[in-house]
Amino acid sequence: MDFPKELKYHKEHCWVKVEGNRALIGITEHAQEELGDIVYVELPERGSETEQDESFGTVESAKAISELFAPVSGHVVDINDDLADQPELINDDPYESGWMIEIEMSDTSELKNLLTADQYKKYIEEEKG
Amino acid sequence: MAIDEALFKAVSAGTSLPTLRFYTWEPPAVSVGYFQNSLREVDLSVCREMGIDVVRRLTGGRAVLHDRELTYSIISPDNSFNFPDNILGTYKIISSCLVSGLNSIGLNALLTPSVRKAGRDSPSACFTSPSHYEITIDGKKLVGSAQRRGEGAFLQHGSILMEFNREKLEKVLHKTGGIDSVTSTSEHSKIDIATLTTSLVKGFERGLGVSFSEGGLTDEEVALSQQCRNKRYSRPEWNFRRPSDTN
Repeated sequence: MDFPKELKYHKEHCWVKVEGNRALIGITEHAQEELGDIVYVELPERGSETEQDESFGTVESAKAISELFAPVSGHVVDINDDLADQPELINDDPYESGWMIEIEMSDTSELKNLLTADQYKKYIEEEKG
Repeated sequence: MAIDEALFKAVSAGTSLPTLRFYTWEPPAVSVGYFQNSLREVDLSVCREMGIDVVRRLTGGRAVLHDRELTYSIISPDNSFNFPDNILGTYKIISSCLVSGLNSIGLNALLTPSVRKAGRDSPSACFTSPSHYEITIDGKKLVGSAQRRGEGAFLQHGSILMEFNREKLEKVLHKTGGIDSVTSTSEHSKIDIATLTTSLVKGFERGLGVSFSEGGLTDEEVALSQQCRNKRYSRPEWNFRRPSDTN
């Protein structure tokens, strides 16, 4: 399973790509595999705020609705509009075309609460027991 | 629906115990999935004529007609009892409990491990496509279930069909493909709701290795469900719009 080294990871299975004070966010390969085929995505509106560890959206897959939890707090500057018609991008390409939202971070010190690729890999192995 | 959401919130917050709940609907209602647009799925004028309510669920899946059926809901923290922290594992355990209860009253129900994708162009009715670990008799779907996960807890609820009125379903829903693969308890056995409920509770007790104590809602749960009702389920903007329509 692929966990790119350049990304940071949240325990609720989102990845974060940091560029300056901007954070691009999506769900991990592990998360998309656990969820199964994603059929709908609900994302926040541009201009809304996210708060670290709080829900920012939902996905529907395999007949469950799962909440998405924000890895960082901030201002939503962009959302991936393609996911409305092509939610399968999340399954097919979770780290690139399946990205979900872009946030202007309000507190970059929150990044220290996130995991590295190796830490995240270890975390999900422990979670599986 | 408001009570299910209230229990989900209270269990997530750690203020309520894990809960197994059974209920029926008066008047009958169609519930549509969280991402469904009820205006597209349901014939509202027929519903009005027949005195059928329409409500949008917090959970996924497709439309269900709640009429001559028993609804179950189970709300629990993740990783409690034997529940794994994933959708399908949870489905499998709950389905096994339901099957155990159904088998104990002579219904030859089976777990169906099908993997059909729930696409957006698929038929409206939740009952018309067996999905992961759902419950069938003679290959026909008896129980339709849906789940929501978040905040360290899950809510799964589902409808156990006791009498199937094909004509009514076809009138109420716009799309009912696969309707031939639906069954109900009455096609196999004469069982009343009380007997069915008791046998399912025992099925859950055996399957989860717990014993349930019967109780009503706490004051906090009543207050929370009233809030959920006021905020969502009594409002047309919740029942007749889906998330992408409001964005």
